[in-house]
Amino acid sequence: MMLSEMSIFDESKLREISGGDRSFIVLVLDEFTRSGHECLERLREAAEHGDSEGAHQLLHTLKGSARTVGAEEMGELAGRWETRVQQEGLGSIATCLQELEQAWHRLMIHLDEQREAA
Amino acid sequence: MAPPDDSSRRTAGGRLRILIAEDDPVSALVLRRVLEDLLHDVDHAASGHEAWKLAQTSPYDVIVSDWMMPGVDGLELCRLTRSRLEGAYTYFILLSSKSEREARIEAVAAGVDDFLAKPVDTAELEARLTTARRILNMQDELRTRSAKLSQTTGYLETANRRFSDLFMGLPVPSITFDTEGRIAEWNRAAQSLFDLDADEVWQRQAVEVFADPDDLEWAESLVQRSIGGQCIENEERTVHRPDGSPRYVLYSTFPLKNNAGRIIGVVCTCSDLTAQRNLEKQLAEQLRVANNLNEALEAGKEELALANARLAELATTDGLTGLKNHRTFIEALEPSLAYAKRHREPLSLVLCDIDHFKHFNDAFGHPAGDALLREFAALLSCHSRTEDLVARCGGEEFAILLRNCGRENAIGVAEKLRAVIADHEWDLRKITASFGVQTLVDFEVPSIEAIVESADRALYASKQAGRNRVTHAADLHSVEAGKKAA
Repeated sequence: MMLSEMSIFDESKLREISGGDRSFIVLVLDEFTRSGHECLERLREAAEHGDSEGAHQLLHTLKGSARTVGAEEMGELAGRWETRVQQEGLGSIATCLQELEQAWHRLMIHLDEQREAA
Repeated sequence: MAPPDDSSRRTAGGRLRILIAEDDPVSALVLRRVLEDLLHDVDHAASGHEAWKLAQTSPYDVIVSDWMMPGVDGLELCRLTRSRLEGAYTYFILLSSKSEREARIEAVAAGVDDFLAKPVDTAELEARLTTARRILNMQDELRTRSAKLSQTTGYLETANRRFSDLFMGLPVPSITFDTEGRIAEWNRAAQSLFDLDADEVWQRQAVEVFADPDDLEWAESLVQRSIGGQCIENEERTVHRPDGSPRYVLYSTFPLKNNAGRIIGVVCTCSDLTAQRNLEKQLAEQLRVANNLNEALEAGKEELALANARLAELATTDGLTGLKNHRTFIEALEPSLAYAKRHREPLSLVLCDIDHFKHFNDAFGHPAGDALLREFAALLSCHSRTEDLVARCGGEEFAILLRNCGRENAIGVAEKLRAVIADHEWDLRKITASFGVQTLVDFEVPSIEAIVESADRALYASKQAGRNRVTHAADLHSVEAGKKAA
């Protein structure tokens, strides 16, 4: 599936897991927002320090949490860069950071809109 | 080690103790929610290292672990969990998006039980936990059985050791052999009896070991009868030890059977009768010696009786002439006198003295005198009745006791003897003797001394009247009375 075809966020997974428990969904999304943000910051630091192993690990974690909450575009993007960093190292890490931060920004806007709608 | 108390996890609805090892807090949060909704007890560790610390202090039924974690990753955590030998089994589920074949093979080799793809699918997780519960129950069952088996093996080993100790320590020499007749066990008493160590006889044919080579037929019969199911009782044989010393052995056997009742060997006891038999032999030998001694003693007693008789004979006999001696004569007088008085029988005493014996001795010497005495005594004996007692009273004086013999007969006897002596042809010169006779007539004679004295006076009278004559004491009285009257 092309990235452009993926939705930014699919809430059905969390609803399925929580049985529609809104407070749990909020709890998970708050944690995702906090840890995702931290993850991106640490990825930037790893890039600055040339730590490809750390970068690979952080991309893996970001991929897992994004997929878990249903942030499909973010999960797919993190997964692709995880594979690329593992294979090529930090050669394109600036592009990676740029793409991820843009995707993260879109996701945050989407989630804010959803909160307001709720 | 006690079997684990895990009855709770065996039932379908039982709570499992689950540890989540996940460095991603979002995944951990969602996973925890899913597991708690399935009513399990859940702990979370944010790293592999923290998970291992928790698992060591409180073992979990299931560990659900992310594969990729900084530091101790999922594979390492699994290896560490499997390295723990004690305690109940932990079911290990590895969370991963990795799908490469080699990676999964590596994970299984590390001890991973199952895989689950991220993000976790609730229905799939529930199904995997059902499998986990089944495996855990089987593991628990296995552990319980293993513990029981271990316990039973322990009991068996203890029982076996106790039986072995008992058998080896039995005071009765005991051996066992299999149905091929090969020795299987050989206790200490048997080692001592046959003077052969257990390792010298193990697996050797029993017949070659517990019987002499010339007794093989009997030994083979014993083994065959025993293997055939017979109980043999008390068959005694002599067997020689390697040093050649004999042992007297009493053999008894009974068959050994397995649970199905099939004969698998034979127990043979070999009671050592050697000490008993040796004692019997000693006793028989001592009895034989005692019998010999007894026979010798009996023979000795006979000899002693003869010797005593001979001694008695010597004590009562005059050494020179062989006649009774003076003491014997005096001793014989008393009972004879009493008998005569009681039965009112006459009894006479004759004393005689060789005439001029002193002159004979002086003329011809003492040896000739002794020879004369012997010849004189022989004549007296020869011409007396067997019931008469002839004795030498000392020197050349002799006495003859005539039982149941009155005055006239006594004078006749004395006269006959006087004539025999006077008429005898003596070597050196003519010999005569004087005689004095006394007869017990009124049975009131008070004493032996009185009789002897009166006979002696009659003898004296014969001497006075010129010798070679017989004088009766009664005649002496009348002569004296006549003399007094004149």
